[in-house]
Amino acid sequence: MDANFIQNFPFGLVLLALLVLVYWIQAFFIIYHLIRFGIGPKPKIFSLIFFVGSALLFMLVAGLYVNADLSLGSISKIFPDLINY
Amino acid sequence: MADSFSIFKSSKYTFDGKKPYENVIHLLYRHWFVLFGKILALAILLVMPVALYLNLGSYVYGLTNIFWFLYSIYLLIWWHSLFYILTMYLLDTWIVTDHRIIDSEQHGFFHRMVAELNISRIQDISVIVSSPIATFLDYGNLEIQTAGTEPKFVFKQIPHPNKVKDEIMRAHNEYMSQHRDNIEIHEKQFAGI
Repeated sequence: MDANFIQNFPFGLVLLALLVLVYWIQAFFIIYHLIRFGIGPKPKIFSLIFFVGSALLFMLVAGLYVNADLSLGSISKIFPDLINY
Repeated sequence: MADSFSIFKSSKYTFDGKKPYENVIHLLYRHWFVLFGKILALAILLVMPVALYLNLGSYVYGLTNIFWFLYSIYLLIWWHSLFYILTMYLLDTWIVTDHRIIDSEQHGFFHRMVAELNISRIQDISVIVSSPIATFLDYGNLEIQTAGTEPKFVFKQIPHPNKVKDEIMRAHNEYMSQHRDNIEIHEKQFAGI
């Protein structure tokens, strides 16, 4: 395999995509169970609240991810005693 | 359009395998107090990082953006944990109809147990209230003994167990008076339609 390919492969981004996938699969399981097996309107209302909350929180995380500087240089400034960069 | 939102409206309870002549008398969940401890623990977990940040954050310059980003990820996990607990609570149900009793227990996403008991097979019902809090809040276990050596049917930590016991006994007596020799009279009526 090309060494450049491994060096340039966006492992962080793939990991993030996997986490997002796991997050939405888990959300699907909860919504599916509430709607499929829940009896009466209460579980359906809860599934709607859960879905709206999950979507809003997901957007919040995405927004804060854009604003947060997660580079090692930036983190080393915050914790200079812990990280020498 | 109105039909699209009908699942959120109050309705006669329907469930898989409900017969057309069957009426739901009770849909029972565990008492809300059973959830209370878990919700309290989650509420503490929700505010704990913010409290820590407010106390210690001022000593660490430039942490704000990273902290809120990490906290938002923590919130995602918290939100899922909360609804996982609520889902298990809402799917742990006991349905009492005028013909049978259905015990549906959810132990995790892929472990579901459903048991059914014809109302005619009830031998006796006992109620167990076993703590001071359960006594004050009026919740407890209701155990139904069936004929033979089958295990008991247990309604766990349900609210107003004595009232439910009375209503099951009333439904049992009504069923027995309508169904002489335990023959289902409604099947014939609905088969003829």
